[in-house]
Amino acid sequence: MNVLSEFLIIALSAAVLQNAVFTRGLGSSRDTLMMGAPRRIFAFGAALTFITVVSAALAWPLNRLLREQQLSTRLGIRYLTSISTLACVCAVFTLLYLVTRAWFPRIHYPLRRDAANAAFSCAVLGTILIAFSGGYGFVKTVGFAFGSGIGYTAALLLVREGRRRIALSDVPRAFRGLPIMLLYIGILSLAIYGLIGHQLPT
Amino acid sequence: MKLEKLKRARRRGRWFDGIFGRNPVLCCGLALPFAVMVTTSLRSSVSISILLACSLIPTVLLASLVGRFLPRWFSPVVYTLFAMVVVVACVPLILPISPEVADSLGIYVPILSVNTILLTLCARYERPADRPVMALVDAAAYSLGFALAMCLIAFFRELLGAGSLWGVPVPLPFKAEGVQIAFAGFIAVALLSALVRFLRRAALVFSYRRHNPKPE
Repeated sequence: MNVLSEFLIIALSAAVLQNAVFTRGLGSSRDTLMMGAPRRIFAFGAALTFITVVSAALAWPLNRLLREQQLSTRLGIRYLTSISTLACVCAVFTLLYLVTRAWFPRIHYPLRRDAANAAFSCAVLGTILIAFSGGYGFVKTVGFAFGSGIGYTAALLLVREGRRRIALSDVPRAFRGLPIMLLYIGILSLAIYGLIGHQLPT
Repeated sequence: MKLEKLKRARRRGRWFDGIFGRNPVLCCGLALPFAVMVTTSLRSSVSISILLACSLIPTVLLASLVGRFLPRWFSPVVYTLFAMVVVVACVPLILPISPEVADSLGIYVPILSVNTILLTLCARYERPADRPVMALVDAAAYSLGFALAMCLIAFFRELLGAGSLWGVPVPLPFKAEGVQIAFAGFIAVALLSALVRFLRRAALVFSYRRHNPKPE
């Protein structure tokens, strides 16, 4: 029960209070933020969440081993954790691609287009590295990865809805497209900043 | 005659596309996490720009040389791992700027290896039709364009938010510390992006009117 509540609390926190897009700008590239159909957003979000969770579950024991053996200090490589985490993400992406292509062609077909974008998004690597730098245990790391993926999908849906409404408004020519979308994300980011309980510095 | 002129202008502009006309951050909306989060100080912006240039140029060159031999779905795996190794190897280059800069950049150093500029350019140049020289030119131009946008945003955010430039205090009658928060990063990028669009359009209109004067 404790494990489950720990998992849910950290997942909720990662999805809302530490949303990857609104609080850290992770995964906020034009192509992903401009995604149109909700169905595609859900497929992209599902792929991203799956890859983040499995990669986090794979990378956590590896990271712990590296830390216990102090390999980073012994080898003099500063970002060994990041390299091993990226290797895990690459392995998960390769496995996902090959397994779905061989045995699940119905999943593979819609996944084919977005799987690489999802796996090599800053949100995946960034989320796992944030969890590691926070010193979380296994359950918390996986929960954080899960919540981050859900939060990212929710952010994409929010941005899509905002874009749909903005399209009906009379926006100045210079602001159409990317600038107005970034302004909208900035305002949502400010709202989340306030939701956490921060106050603007005076 | 005019078509010839246009072709010449396009050929010339091709070399600087990534810097002004198709700036990766302000026009194409690439590498936004860095533009939003890292631009709180000029030092961080310059450091991340150096690391991006160091990783982008060799990786895009690699893509243009070996990309055609790799399966399309597998190529991002090779590029990102290669870029990560290059980024890690290049971190000592930014330490002279400030010993703490690598720590202050945090996770934004390793995630340079999965940034969208790198993946976009690698995908563009892995086709056999494109020459490695143009890949190098584009990688260098995009790196410069990224650095230009980052420094421009960081200039305003550090000046207004911290009242300093490159860590040197600048006497200002007011200070808006909120400018250093993430939301202000999004708004700053949006405003500069709109300004660049406005200037681009104004330049186009000016050029059109100069070559097509109104009849008397």
